[in-house]
Amino acid sequence: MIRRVMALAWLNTLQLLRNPAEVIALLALPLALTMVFGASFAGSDRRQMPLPVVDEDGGAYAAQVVQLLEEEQSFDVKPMTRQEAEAAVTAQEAGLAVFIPDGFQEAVNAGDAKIETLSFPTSNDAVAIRAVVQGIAVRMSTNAAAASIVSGVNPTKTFEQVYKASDALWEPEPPVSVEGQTVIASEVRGEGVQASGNTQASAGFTVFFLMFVTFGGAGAILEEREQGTLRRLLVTPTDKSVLIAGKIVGIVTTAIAQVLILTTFGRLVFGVPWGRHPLAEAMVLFTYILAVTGLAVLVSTIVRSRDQFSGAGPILSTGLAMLGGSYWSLDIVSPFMQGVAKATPTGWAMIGLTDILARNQGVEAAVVPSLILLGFAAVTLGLGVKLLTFE
Amino acid sequence: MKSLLTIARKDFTVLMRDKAAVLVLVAMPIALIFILGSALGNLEEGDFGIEVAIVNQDDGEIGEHFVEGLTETEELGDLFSITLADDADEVRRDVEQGNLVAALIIPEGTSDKVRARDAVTLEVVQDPGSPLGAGVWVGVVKAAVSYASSDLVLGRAIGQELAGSAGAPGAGAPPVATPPAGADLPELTAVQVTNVEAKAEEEISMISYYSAAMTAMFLLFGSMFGAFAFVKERREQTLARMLVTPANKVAIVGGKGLGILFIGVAQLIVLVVGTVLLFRVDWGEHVAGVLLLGAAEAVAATGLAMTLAALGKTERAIGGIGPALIMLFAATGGSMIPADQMPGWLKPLQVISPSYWALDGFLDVMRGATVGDVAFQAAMIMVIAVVLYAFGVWRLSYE
Repeated sequence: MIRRVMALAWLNTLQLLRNPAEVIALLALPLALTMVFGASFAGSDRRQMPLPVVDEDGGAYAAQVVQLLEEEQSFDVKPMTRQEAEAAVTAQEAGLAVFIPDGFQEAVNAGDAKIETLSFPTSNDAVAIRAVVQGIAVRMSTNAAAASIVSGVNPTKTFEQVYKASDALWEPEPPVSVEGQTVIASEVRGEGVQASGNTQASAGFTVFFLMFVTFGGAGAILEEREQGTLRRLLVTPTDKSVLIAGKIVGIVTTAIAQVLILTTFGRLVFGVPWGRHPLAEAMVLFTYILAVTGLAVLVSTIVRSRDQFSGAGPILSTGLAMLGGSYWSLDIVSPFMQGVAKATPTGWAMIGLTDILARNQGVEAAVVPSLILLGFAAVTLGLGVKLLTFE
Repeated sequence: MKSLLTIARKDFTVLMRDKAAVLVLVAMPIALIFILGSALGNLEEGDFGIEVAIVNQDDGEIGEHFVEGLTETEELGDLFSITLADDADEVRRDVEQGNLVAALIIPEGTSDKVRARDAVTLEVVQDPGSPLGAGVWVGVVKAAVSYASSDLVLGRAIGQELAGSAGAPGAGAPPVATPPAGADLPELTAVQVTNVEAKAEEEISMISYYSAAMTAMFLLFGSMFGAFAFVKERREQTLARMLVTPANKVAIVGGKGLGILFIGVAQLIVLVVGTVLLFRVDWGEHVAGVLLLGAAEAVAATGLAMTLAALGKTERAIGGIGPALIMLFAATGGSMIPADQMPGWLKPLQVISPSYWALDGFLDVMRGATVGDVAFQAAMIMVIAVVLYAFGVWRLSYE
């Protein structure tokens, strides 16, 4: 019996390998998307935000603004003309541009200087950059306030002298500063050391593309049904349960192979800590594979034709991936949407993997997600197998 | 020409009869627009509830000042759910396990250190599993701290400069002139930041953005069904039979393409009307611009269908390559995350994505652009369409 199950399982692998384009899509695409999303969501240490800066004043205070912006490691300051900077923001090449208008020098002395910014409406970079520009404005305002008070009381001190003396008090560190620290069980890393964008993206796209492989496998069952080869198998002295077991083992095996390849790449190329807790990762991923295999089989029993199935599969996967937090970490969605995520297998896989990979937790973090995923699997596989017809 | 139109009409009818396909092409994007709009839309509405904690180990007024500043600001209340805790180790553990997104720890003796002019560093611990929410908290704390620093610098600068000047009345003043928190300070307005939003006539909400983004992405999905139809006819040999008829290859390919084009345009109209009715999305005044871009993208989808039918021999192969290509186009084109968030090396690649140009154009129209303003984007999409078409027709086998 085992031999028959294995023979049927091997058939699924052969069917997959017969389509080199599909194999490439299943392996290359998740890696490509990991790269894009990893880089987009990575902390500021990983990606420099382009920042057009226009200095129309040319004075010492304007130079200070530029210098303080340049000191921010996450900014890639690019001096430009006003037209160039406006064009860059309009074209979304930069989220925000900074303008120091002509007359800034005198305006600081007079106490009514303005730093102008131009931002692209939907840009998150703009929010981050504006916070820094605001910080610079506060620092300069403070210096200017001190300078005007002191030079007002004591005419022997010039505005510039006091401004400089006051500004020196901000270095090397302002009186009160903040140190951000990412805490991970049994290790503490400084801000920005961690490749958090890649961890989220690698876990997310592994979870996402596992659905593609299981849907592809379930599509093969449909294909055989349409071609009538399944019916022929029933003529052989093979029990129906053996046939079903063989098909499911086949799908699960190819999914495991995909996981091994994607996680190995994730570890070697993107520096994602896969393999630190192999047992915990295996628990979550294996139960997840069972759950989505069941889902794929279930969907294949509901649709009528193979092209319906091939269309519904990717779109259902995309929806579940978005809801479950495969694209972005769930911490930025509303509490309601976080609840919705807990109704999806993708959501539980991401919850488990985030605990294990990003938070460095062991088997204890895998127990609840894998039990729930096992529950999903019991329902979807049970229903799918029950509804599966061979003719 | 007549045979071309007949083929087009036939393909269109066959697909429209397939309810699941219609569902996939129209209902799914609307569902995704809703998911994305509400998932990310709260970013701008500020309805977040990010769980954070403050541990104040300082017994002086500075620590108290910080806690008040952070807990009593209304905007922060919408964004964060702040708990005050005593046990720093427990809070650290909670953050480590992801029960809290981040925490601020104000160390013991902060007020004393400030009074003694020693530098003080506050500690923010962040959950590695919630990088985005934790990042927002760090930003807020940094902003609060920069104002605290400013109070201190101002007091010190005035004290130091007045004390340092010989004969000044303040010469005998204590060297440490830290003003008490909340004392009357001059307003810090010498340098202000004013922001203008680019093309700010029309601000685009998240739901509008994703309506445009999903429309740009799902218009390409029509190509898969076109390619499926092609593969099916090839397998069932009806394509080969058609070649026997006086209809030439141009008519067959053109007719099939036109069928997909009809579907794309129908899909576009349903999506635009649907998002207007359901989410009150404002597609801008110049609807013709939306139609032009959408029609251009539908043409690109027909080209993509030909390319897919040429690349994949079976439905399964197309089911693998199709979504992969479409999602890569969509991801680089900004349909999933806004294009300005993308790393710089990716930007040159965006130009080959039809959904990038379509989305770019849709957003322009939403901001008030006319048909003429988006002609360039439409032309770029047509160039991509021609390339895809040429490849498809070149490599396509009919038998």
